[in-house]
Formats: sequence, structure tokens, C-alpha cells
Amino acid sequence: MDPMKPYDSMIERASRRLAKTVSRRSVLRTLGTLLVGAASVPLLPVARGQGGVKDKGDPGTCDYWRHCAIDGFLCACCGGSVTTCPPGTEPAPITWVGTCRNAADGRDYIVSYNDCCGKSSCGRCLCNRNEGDGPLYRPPVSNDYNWCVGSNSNIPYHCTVSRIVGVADKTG
Amino acid sequence: MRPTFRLMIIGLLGVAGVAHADDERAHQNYLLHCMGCHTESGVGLPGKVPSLRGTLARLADDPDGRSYVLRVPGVTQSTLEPARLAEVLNWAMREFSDTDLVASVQPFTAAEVAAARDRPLLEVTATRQKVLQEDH
Repeated sequence: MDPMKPYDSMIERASRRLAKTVSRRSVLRTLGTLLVGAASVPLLPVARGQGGVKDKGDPGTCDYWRHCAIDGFLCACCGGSVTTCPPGTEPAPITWVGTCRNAADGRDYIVSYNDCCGKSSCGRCLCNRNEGDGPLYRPPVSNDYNWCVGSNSNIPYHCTVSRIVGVADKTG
Repeated sequence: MRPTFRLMIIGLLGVAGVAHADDERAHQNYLLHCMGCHTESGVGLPGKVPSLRGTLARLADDPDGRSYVLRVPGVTQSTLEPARLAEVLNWAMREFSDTDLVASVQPFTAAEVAAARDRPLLEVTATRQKVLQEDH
């Protein structure tokens, strides 16, 4: 006996049953509903935290969790956002990196504090929390430096963003 | 399934799991300890911070280059313990280099990292230029 025979007849039975019970129009209708439904999902209002990270608090205030190790003006108060530089400035690629605990999910995250450079100091929302800040003689762990020295637009410091770059559950 | 075959599969899954956990830890340590200067993608900043892309495996493959990598300030002054630092170097080498070259390069060891801390490099830029035979 052909070893595929039982599968053949099983598939055949299933196909015939489907053909008897489901109309072609209903298949089209269901597919159409699914297509439209799937396309409208992104339009629904959802909390858009960075990269799916649960978020709580106002990025324009110093006690917002991602600012735990910041030393500078918050870009969210200066025409930018917690992750983007204001118009007319550009992020310094050389940054200070620290970790912050997110109270919303209890996890630690690696946060890159990129200085935005190219315009004079923003002067709004100075935030100087310094958690995990190191001494000046160890530059890579000190946030007191003006990291705009490492930007292409060179020098004038405007504000700082707090960008999540990863989870910190295995570091050290 | 034969017991030996089943054991082999469980063993392989275990090895894959461990390798993955190490990679994840190395990546996180790279982000926390290295990316501030070398940037997330390892390209650095031309003229200010050297790129790791394409150069790390080349350097590691040459005795002078290997000694250079192990003795640069970012490595000798790192707060990571030697085993973790060797893990980050090996991860970065795999991540930022050509696969064919990496396969033939000896991975960095904790003992090498620890030994290099006793003799930090003083002439960083000149040594790099010499080893990579770069003009600038």
C-alpha cells in the first residue's frame, strides 16, 4: 500500500468538508476583514515607550527615571525630546553611559546620555542627578565632561538626551 | 529516540544556551563600558576614537597587534575583571570583523588580559599606526 494514502484521503476529506460548508464569498469576506483589521492596528492609541519599554513619568522633569545619571539641560524642555536633539543641534557620538532602574517594570536599563551640540546652552530644566558618576580623573565614567568635544559640530553644548540602548541584567 | 542521541541533543542545546548567555552579557558590557567612545556600531569617531570594525581581528591575528589591543587605555583601565573583558573583546571581534578572519584568530584569554594590565601602552597612536601600517 502507498504509505501516503492515509494522508491523501485525510486531506481530501477535509477539503471536501470545507468546500461543502464554507462559501467562497465568506472566505473572501473573512480575509478582507483580517486585512483591514491588521492594517488598522497601528492606528490604535498605545503607549509608545522607546523600543517597547514600559514607561512612567514626564521626560521634561528631572525625576524621570531615565535621567538618573544625567548632568545637563533636558532636551525635552529645549525643543527636542528625551531621545532627539532640538533642531539646529546634533548629537555627539561620544557619550556617557550609565544604568537606570525603571520603576514601571523593575528592570535596569543601559542609558546613553548624548549631548546635543551646535547651539549655546539651552538653560532650561537643569538636571544634575549623577547616580553612578565617577571622578574627573577617570573620564569614561565621569559625566562632568562636555562630550561635545567629541562631536563634529565641535563645542557649544545645548542639552542632553537620555537614550535607552539596552537592558542591564547581565552586566559586570 | 535513543538515549545517547537524546543526550547529545540536550547537550547541544545546553552549549547553544550558554554561548548565547555569554554573548548577551558581553554585548551588555560592551554597551556599558565601551560604546561611550567606540559607539554602538564600533565605528568610533574618525581622528578621535579608533574604529573597531574590520581592525580588531586583524590586530588580534598579529603578535604586535594583539599586544597593542591588550595594552590600550580602554582595556588596561577598564573596571571589568579580566575574564569578562576577554569575553567582550572576543564578542566585539566576532561582531565587528569579517567572519572568515575571525574563525582563524585565537580568542583572547583572561590570563592575557590580566598580564597586559601590568604593562600599559604609552605610545598608543604611534603603535597602532605601526602595527596596522596606516599613514595617519
